[in-house]
Amino acid sequence: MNSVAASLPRRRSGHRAVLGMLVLLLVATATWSLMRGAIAVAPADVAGALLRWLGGAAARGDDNVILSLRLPRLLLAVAVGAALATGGSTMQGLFRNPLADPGLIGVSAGAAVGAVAAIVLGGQAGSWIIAASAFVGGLVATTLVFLIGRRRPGVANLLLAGVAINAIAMAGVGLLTYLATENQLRDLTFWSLGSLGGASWSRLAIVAPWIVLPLLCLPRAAAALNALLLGEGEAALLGFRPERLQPLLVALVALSVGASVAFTGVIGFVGLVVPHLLRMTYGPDHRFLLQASALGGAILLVAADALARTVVAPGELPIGVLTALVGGPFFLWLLLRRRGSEFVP
Amino acid sequence: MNAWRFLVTATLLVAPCLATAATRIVSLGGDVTETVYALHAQDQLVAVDSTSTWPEAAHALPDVGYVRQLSAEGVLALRPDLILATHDAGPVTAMEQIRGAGVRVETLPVSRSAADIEAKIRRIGELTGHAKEAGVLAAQVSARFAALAKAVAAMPTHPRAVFLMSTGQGSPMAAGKDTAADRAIVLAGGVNAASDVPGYKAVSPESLVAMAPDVILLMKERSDAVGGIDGVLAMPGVADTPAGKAKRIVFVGGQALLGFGPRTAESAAALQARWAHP
Repeated sequence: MNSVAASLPRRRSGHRAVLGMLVLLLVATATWSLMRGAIAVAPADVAGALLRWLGGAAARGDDNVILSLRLPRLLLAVAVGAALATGGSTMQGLFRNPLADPGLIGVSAGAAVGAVAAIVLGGQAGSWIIAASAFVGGLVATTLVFLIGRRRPGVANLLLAGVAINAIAMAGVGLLTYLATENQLRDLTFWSLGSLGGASWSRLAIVAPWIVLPLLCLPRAAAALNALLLGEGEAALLGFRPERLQPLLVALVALSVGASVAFTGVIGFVGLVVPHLLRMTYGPDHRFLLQASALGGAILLVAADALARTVVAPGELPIGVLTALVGGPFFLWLLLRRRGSEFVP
Repeated sequence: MNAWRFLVTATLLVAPCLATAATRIVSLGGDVTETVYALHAQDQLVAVDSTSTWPEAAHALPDVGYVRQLSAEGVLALRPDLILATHDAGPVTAMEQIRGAGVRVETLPVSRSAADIEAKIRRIGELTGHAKEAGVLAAQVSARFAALAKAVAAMPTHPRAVFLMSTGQGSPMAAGKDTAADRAIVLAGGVNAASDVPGYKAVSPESLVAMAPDVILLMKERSDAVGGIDGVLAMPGVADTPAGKAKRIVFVGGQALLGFGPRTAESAAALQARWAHP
C-alpha cells in the first residue's frame, strides 16, 4: 500500500494525457452516435441540423429527429454513464472494496421498488410519477442502508446493511411483480434492463441538475479517498475524517445515481466495470480515477445506446443487455491477461 | 415536340403515380394487422410489430419490435404517414415522440366484444380507405357472432374451462377475469373456472384441482413446448381435475381466438362446437 501512495504524484502528467484522450474519445463516440440511428442521416445533415439549431434557424428535413430524439438522448447517456461510473468509483474507494458499485448502497434496488410500486399500485400513473417514485425509493433505501450501517464503526457494517436492504427491495419487486397484470408486467421489464428511449428535452431539464451537480462535487473528495486507501486510522492521522466523509459521499452518489435510475431504469455493469478497468490500467489515484470514470462511463453508455438503437432497427434492444454483452467479455479478457497478485483495490 | 404535347404527355405519365401514391402505414398490434390484411389494405403497410404473426405474409415486412417497447426513431425511420396502433402500444414516451414528429397516430380502443370487433373493422376500413370492404367484413363477422350466440343459448350446460397461458418453469399462469381469454371462454359458451382472480395469475396444482375445470385450454402455439396433450396431463394437479380425468385438453389458436380481430368469431365458434359435441 505504501508503494501506492508513493507512486501517486509521479503519475500525474501521464494521467492528464489519458484524460485528454478520453475527452477526445467521448467527442468521437458522441459524434458517431448522433449520426447513427434507424433513420439514415448524412453526416452533413447532422452538422447542418446542429448549426441551424444553434443559429436559431428553422428546422429542415430530419432536423427534428436529430434535435428532439437523438440529441437529448445523447446528453442523457453522457450524464447517466458519468453518474454510474463515478458513483462506482467513489463507492469502491469508500468501501475499499473492488466489488462495490452504486447499487450496493441500495439506490438502484430502492428505485426499482419505487418505480414498480407506482406502475402496479398507481393505476394509470404517468411517467413523471413513476420517475419521481423511483427517485424517492432510491433515496429512502440508501438512507436506510446508511442509518443501519453506521450504528457500528467501519464500512463492513454498511456493506452488510446494503446487502440486506437490497435483498428486501428485490423481494418487494418480486411481490409487486406477482400482483401486476400482464400489461404492467411488460412495463416492468424496462426496469430490469434499462432504456434511454424516454429521453426528451423536458425530461433532461428536470433530471440533469440532480445528476450533474452531485457529480461535480465528487472530485473534491479525491484526496480523502486516496488517504482512505491506507486505512481509516491512517486517513484520520493524515487529517481526513472518514466518519464525516462517508455520509457526504453516500448522499452525493445516491442523488446522482438515483436521478439517473429514475429516468432510465437499472443499467447494470457500468458502475462496477468502468472504474475497475481504469484502476487496473492506470492505478488507484482518485484525483485521476473519478474524472476518468465519468468520461469512461459516458463513452461506454453512449456507444452502447448507439448500438441498442441500431442493431435490431427498426426495433430497439434494452441497453443493459449491451453494456453487459459488450463490456463483459472485454473485462474478462482484461482480467485474464493480468498475472500475479498486483490487483489493487 | 411542342410545349403542349410535352405537358400533356408529362401529365399522363405522372398522374397514375400520384393517384396510386399509397399511404405508408405502420400497423402496431396483431389484431390491427389481421384486420388490415382481411380488408386487403396490406399494400399500404410498410411495417408491423412483433405481435403481428398472422397472416404469414406479415412476417415479410420490417418488424419495429414488441408493441409495448417501441422505439420512436425505429418507427419514424419507415417514414409512415399513419400509425394504426392497438390500445396498448407504447411506451407512452415513444408514442409522444412519434406524434411530436408530426406523424398521425390512430389508437384503436380496447376490444373485448363482438360489437367492439365490428367497430374496429369499420374504423380501420375508414382509415385505410377500404370502408366498403370493411362494411362487408363487419357484416360477416356480425352474422358469425349472431349464429354463435344462438348456438351458445341452445347449450344445455356450460362447461367450466380454464385457460393456461404459460406453462414453463414453475406454476402455470391461468387467465382470470378481465383477460381476453376470459371473454373468449364466455363467447364460446363456457364458464371461466379461474374468474375469481384478476389478470393472469400463477396457479398451484392444488388450486387447479379446486377450480375443477371440465376443459383445460392452452395455446396451439405452445403445444409442442408443453409436450402436447400427454404433457399437459402429466402436469401436477391436472390428473385430478374433471378435465384431466376425461382427457379434455384443447389447444386453441391463441392469436386467432384472443386477438379479438376478424378471426375471433370463427375460433370461438369452433371451440363452442367442440364442447357442445365432445
